[in-house]
Amino acid sequence: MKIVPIFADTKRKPPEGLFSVCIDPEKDQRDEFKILDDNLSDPEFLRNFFNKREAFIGAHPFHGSITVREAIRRTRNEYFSLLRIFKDLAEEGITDEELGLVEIFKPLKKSEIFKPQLQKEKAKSSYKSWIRVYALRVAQNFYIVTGGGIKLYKTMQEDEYLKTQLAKIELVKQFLIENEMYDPEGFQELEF
Amino acid sequence: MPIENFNKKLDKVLSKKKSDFLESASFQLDNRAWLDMSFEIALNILDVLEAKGWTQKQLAEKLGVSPQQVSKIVKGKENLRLSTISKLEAVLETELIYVANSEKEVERSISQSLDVFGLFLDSVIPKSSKAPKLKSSGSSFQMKENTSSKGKVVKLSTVDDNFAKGA
Repeated sequence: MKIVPIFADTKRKPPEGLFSVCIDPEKDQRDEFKILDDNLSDPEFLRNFFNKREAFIGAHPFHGSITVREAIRRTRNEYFSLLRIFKDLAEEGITDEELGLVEIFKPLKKSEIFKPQLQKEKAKSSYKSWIRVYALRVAQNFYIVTGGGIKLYKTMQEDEYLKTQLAKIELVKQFLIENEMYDPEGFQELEF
Repeated sequence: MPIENFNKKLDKVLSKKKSDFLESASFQLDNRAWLDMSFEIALNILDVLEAKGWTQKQLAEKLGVSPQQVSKIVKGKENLRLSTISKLEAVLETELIYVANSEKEVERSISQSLDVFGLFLDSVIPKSSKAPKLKSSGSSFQMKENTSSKGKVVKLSTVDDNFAKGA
């Protein structure tokens, strides 16, 4: 496993910025942020994803009972919002209190709120967005993206795809612990 | 407690490969208009392939191109030439994009755009300061505000027409 800087200052002490992980470089050289980016902009991936969940999105009042094509278009719009947010973040400052990483990533679950370090975090492009980016906060302004996806169901455990994302968060967490990049006061699981 | 020798520990696991996210994001944001079209065409192709029960490989054979080329097209990031779209339409026996093909349709499209522009003007210009006629300098066209029973519309007419009417 390798850590890939997305936009980061690796010379700074401690390092700052957004990183990702390449879980198995011999199998796939792409980092998890790149894989998410590829999936969210891939018509074939999105079509297969929503076709498999067609019955759910077509009947679910929370999602407005939409068609597969509508779900794909909604995802595409959200994807471009996400690109804009991360691009602005890279250009305007990762440490900004209003626009910085600390502002866009939120704890993955309520139980993570009071865990100061290696917190699992999530980030999303807007309040109603169903796109998720999962990350671990290693230290203040040091975030590692472990994956992401489209969250249609209330819990990640209800969707096979997101269950694999949960497993990846754990995998990366173990890797960081093994490599002593673990500060019990700062580790946090996050979500965009 | 801060992590000791954090930078040294990071260096051990840091990839030498640089992420191209920023370049890719900039490109996509700057080229969204045609990328959206390419994306929709890709979805249409995938729908037709499914309906016909064809694989991408079969489509490649019928087009006389490599499977890699078809794979690129259905990724929705190819800036497709009109000749490629025409060939795809012929092989798939489906219209993938729609092109206005008569003067009337083009006029209707312009009229719709101006209606939207008129609504925009209504929303931003106070009524008292709104001029009834807008003439763009150097252009042979004027935008004229008409009020009909159907409501307010902005229509395009030539300067010559207005001269003829004594405007």
